[in-house]
Amino acid sequence: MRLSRTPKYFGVLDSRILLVVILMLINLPIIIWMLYTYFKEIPVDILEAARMDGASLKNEILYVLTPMAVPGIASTILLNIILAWNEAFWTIILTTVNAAPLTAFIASYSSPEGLFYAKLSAASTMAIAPILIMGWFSQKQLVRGLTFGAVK
Amino acid sequence: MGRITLDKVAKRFGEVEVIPPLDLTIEDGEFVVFVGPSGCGKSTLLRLIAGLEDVSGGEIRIDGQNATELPPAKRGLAMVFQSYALYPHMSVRKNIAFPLKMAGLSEDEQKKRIDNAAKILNLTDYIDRRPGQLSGGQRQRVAIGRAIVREPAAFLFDEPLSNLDAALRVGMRLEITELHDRLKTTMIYVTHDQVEAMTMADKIVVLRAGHIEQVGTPLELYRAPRNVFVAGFIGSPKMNLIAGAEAGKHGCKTIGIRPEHIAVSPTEGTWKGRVGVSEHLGSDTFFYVHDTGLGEDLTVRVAGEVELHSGDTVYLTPDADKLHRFDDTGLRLA
Ligand SMILES: Nc1ncnc2c1ncn2[C@@H]1O[C@H](COP(=O)(O)OP(=O)(O)OP(=O)(O)O)[C@@H](O)[C@H]1O
Ligand SMILES: [Mg+2]
Repeated sequence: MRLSRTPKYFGVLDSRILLVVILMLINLPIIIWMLYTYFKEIPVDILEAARMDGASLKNEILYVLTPMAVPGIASTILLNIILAWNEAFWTIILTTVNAAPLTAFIASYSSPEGLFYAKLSAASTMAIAPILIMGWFSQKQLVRGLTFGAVK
Repeated sequence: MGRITLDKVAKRFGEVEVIPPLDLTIEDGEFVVFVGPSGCGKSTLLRLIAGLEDVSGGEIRIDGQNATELPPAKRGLAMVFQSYALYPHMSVRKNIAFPLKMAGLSEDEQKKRIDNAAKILNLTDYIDRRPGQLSGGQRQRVAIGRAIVREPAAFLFDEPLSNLDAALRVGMRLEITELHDRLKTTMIYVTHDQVEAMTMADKIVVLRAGHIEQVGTPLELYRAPRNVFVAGFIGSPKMNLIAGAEAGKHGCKTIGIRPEHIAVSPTEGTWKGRVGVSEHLGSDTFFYVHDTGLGEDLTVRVAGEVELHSGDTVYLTPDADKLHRFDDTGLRLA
């Protein structure tokens, strides 16, 4: 297939490193955009208070900005894990055996010999289980108000 | 020590000159209040002193040292924000400890100072809670606690009490005044509230459009406002300002008489008018008097409760000693 020609040329076809790079590039815009909005929502007053309290730029980022953005960072991470986990188009094209992730594995049940519904369903259920469990445990982080109690 | 000198300090945002070059000296230990109408540049001036905004010109000196280019962290000033600006992810103790940690103080010293501040401000009961679990008044106390532990050269307050309800505001007002008596540290306080300005200040700075209109003690401003603007701004209810023929009789452009310096009589007096709305506060009664023939409605303040009804005719006599006279340019005539 055409899309796999360049990776093949560089000898990285069906390798994990290629998959990592591709998935990161696909999700990067969402990551940047989400983090940007979360960081932007932190009230300027609080950062100015830190400056008045004698914090250097490094300490301001380390002790105030980052901890306050933790819920946002957590939800960004979670969302992007889900997106990467579910990504099928590129993974099916660019992998065969060595680096094939779950999506490629599930897709293999839809073979020329016909659809194996039972196996397909079982594999799909198993595939969503980790995400479901992760989401369950991180929901508190995800919904916690970003600035609760900081400003009136 | 905390002597702050502003020398031709100016601030412009793009094309807009918010603060034209301005000189001001704040003595060590003074309680200075900035007042002025909304948008006149009070917060901007405070933020220039804090270093949160860069000046467009002029020099700021703190204890004789040029601080114009210093970042906020290096100026040794502490600020209390209207929004409290507490760190929501830290307990009260950690909030108060933060400036000490940044200053690199030892754990023992930190603990000593935090306990001391907690005692002064009655924070001990909720020292391990997060800001989200506190009431507005408690949060403001924590914000003040965070400011005092550093032992700054001066405190900067930007309308710290305006988010609190009336009763709490009175309580915190007293607490801040007591704190000033105890610490004797320079305080600069921005407010909209007449009562806060009059009761707390050693010195009031009245600003209009970035200009200083007058600097003086509360009573100086009350007794001898330098111009019509200050006369109308300081005092509540507002001073009555009368222009035209009546002012001409006193040889000036405008005369001013405070509502509390007008005597009311049902039978005789200088000006005759008809009573409109009256507001009964118990301790005082305010009347709004129409049809005085002066071109202005007058506000009158009488101590205690007075029975006067809407539509009644009254005679008003201004106290001649308390009459203020202003010339064509609005300046006070002696
Ligand atoms: N970052 C900024 N950019 C542009 N203009 C600004 C900025 N900050 C303030 N101003 C303008 O400067 C003027 C003074 O603002 P400032 O906040 O100092 O007023 P204030 O006296 O504190 O008013 P208030 O009593 O309502 O708090 C206003 O006209 C405002 O629009
Ligand atoms: Mg303001």
